Amino acid sequence: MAGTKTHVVKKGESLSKIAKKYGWPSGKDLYNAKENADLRKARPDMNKIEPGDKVIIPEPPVDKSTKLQYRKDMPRMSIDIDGKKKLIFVQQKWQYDWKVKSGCSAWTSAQKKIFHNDCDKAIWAKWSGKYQVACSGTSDFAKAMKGQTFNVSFDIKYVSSGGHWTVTVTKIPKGSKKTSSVKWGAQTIDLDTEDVKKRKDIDQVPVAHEFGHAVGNSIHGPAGHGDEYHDDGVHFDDKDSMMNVGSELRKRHADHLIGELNKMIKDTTFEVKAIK
Amino acid sequence: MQTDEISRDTLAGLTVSEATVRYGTPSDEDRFTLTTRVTEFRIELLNHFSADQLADAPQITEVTWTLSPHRNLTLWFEGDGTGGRYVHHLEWSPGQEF
Repeated sequence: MAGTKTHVVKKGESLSKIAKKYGWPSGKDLYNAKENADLRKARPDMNKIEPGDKVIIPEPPVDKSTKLQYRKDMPRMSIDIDGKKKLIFVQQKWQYDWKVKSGCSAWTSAQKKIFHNDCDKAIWAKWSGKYQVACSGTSDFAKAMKGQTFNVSFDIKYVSSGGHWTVTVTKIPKGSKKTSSVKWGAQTIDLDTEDVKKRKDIDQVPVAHEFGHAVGNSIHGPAGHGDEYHDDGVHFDDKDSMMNVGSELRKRHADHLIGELNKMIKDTTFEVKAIK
Repeated sequence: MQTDEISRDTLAGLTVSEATVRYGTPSDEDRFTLTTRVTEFRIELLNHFSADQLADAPQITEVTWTLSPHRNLTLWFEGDGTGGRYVHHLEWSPGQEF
């Protein structure tokens, strides 16, 4: 069952202590959960559990009056928090400007769609489902979500107006190179048709790196950090990092997102617990 | 915004010394061996070297000038020292990240 865990009782633990750890209202509520029928049969007295006993931890019951969905629209992205699905959904609307390098054919509608889909797939593959985010605090939301982790998904949407970002894409000859970049202040991204392919000699798909800038890894944004491959930077040696020349996400790459999440729900603090 | 774009023709054959006379004191200088494992900022250099040439580990001198508060110019030269010859250039704004 989704969200269900098993806790093996250690010496000195009580059901109330275990319940508290996983965000359940009380030890009695946890003991009486239908998933713990076997435990009740083995231990008819809830105060006499023993080390080694297995306590099933379903998702804690949520007060139906607790608001579980929040949304925030910002200049560079929107964020949806869904407490029911345990999902944080980050979306950027990309409004394209299509260019062609001398010698290349004009863009067709099909090629534009394919390019966008390739960007979306690369970003999804490299960024989504990686961050495991938890929250704490004194809000009803934080209490209801105690012990739970959120998946974070990143998405780009192809729009013809009202984009968060203006994305200029230049069609270039296959195998040739063109510098890509992001301007945080101007909300512009420059890409080329080679950016959706994995680089041959480094483990990186360029569009996933550039998306990293657009999602907050910019020296010009609130996080205050961007590219990590400058030899005077503290993460210069972390070559596997997405914001260096690799593809792996680090906690710091979600600094801007976490900062924005922490402004969305009063008395609620989010943090990255792990990266898959 | 890039204005008065500098063409390759005006830079062809230029040495580091000549470029320094033309653009003044650089804001940054770096030297490196070019391989295919370049960062995005330097990726266009690969358009100028074949696989065989890269196998010879070409030495590159990278020099950047601040032309205005909104415009930087980076020139890449093949070879060490002031005699290196122009290979490629990039005009960019301080707001750009690569």
